[in-house]
Amino acid sequence: MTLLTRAEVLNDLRRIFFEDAASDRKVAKAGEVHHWKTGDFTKNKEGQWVPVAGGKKSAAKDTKPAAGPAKAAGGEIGKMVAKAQKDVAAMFPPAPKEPKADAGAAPAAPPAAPPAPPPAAAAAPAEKPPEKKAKEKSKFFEPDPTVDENGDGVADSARVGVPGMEAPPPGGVPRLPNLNERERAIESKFADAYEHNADGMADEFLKVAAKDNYVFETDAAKALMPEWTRPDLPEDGKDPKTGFTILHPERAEARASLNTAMHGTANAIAKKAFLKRLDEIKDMPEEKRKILVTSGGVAGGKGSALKAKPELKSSVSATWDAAGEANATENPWVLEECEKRGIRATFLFVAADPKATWPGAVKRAKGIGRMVDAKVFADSYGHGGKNFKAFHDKNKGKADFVFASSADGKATITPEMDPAALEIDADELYKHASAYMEEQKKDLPPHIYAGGTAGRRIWGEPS
Amino acid sequence: MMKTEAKAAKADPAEKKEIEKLFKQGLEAALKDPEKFWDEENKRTAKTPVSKFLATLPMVHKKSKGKGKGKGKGKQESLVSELNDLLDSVKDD
Repeated sequence: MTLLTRAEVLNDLRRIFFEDAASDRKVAKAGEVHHWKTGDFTKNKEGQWVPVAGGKKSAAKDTKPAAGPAKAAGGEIGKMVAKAQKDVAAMFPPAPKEPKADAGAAPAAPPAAPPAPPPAAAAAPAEKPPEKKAKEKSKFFEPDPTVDENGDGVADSARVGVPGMEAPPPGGVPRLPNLNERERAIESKFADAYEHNADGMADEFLKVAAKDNYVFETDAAKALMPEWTRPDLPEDGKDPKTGFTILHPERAEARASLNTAMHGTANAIAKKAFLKRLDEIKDMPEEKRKILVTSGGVAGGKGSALKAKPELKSSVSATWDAAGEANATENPWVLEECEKRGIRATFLFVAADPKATWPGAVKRAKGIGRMVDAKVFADSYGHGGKNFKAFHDKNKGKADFVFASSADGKATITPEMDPAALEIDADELYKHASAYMEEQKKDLPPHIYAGGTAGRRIWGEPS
Repeated sequence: MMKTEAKAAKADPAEKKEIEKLFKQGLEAALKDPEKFWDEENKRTAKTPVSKFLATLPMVHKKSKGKGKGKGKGKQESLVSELNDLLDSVKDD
């Protein structure tokens, strides 16, 4: 029998498990490079965006990973491949000085790993110092949600969504680190489609928003994705007692599992569509040139308050109903865009007790499927209040502000922000929310638990 | 030209009061019966058409677990099995 070389066997492995399996979900071509604010990314053969080594040119064509550590091989197949790769590696003695292809690392953090050096490069002296490799990994979107580089008092970015002052394009949709294989495929599909058809998709969402008095809500844009709405499934059921929707279990599963991965693109679509609406408003008579903007932590009640009082949204020409996950980082952008167009904005903030709203967010997921991760939930309270306060203090002469509170289960309007909203520590709250997920785990559908704890894999465990 | 210059950046006090009143009422209703308003998200999502730019792309499905009923996984599992056989035979050699 002819003995295959190690490289041949590993190449076969890669072709069998990754190229063939991934071929049906590619949107952009492999090797395509995008230059984003967050760095240069290239499509690999699995249809995933990976940071370009060196930052300028595509690595996908030059760099053929010998053992595929860059593969998003999470899950069973990834484990099988990793095991097979280890077996192969054990049988074929490694060439001297050949950089180790760490197959075992692939399932743990597949998308963040840069492509491995090609076998041909093994003989060449190692070019990359270890710190450069670490830097490449950080090319995924991993902002510090407290950093304020532009000095406006408001943090520049939240962990999810697009940066506060941006509405890409220009620029691309940031890609999250450490997604699993399915999340990465969903993120890539949604983001790629938007980056190639941004105006078209924003127009589609503008029509959706128009049916709801021009309320622009990031979560609503997720419904443009078939994986979210699942038109292939039978219709949802109805609870005979309450009349509320009983989601098809697969729809519920998708919305809980994919919420984080879809958030960035949905946010970009909603922002772009909102700008289109602002362009329409700027030509309206002055009394119509006004909008509302809501801010507050996740599941704090702001969106529901708008739904409960439709007169609010119909009293203005548009409403930016910010996702709590944005940590109130979008407000300077909204105000700037309004000022450019001579539009008046009223900013509403809802303070709430996150220890009461987190169980509410979990309960809500049982009804609507969508589950917010504990880390971004904690950020929304730990950073959102501080961002809003700084924004208010700087701009109180330029816009109207309304402060409300739903703490203690009572709705009140307050002259200033509830001081308790400024004392929330994001890390402490993350710990608390994460512990709650463990307490509830046995009673929760697995997808809700997975959605609420995905942040442990993406951003790390509570410290 | 006139239209892009707002006369005042701020609402008159009566208008602001009205917003405060409505928002408080909305928040009260939301706190009292949150499920009712959560369910509106389901209804809205059900009515939203899928993007035409996404509708024709292949769906990304969750991988089926367990019995290998999924077409892709069955194929991959059998390939793994073949590969293991191959590795065993190489070992023997």
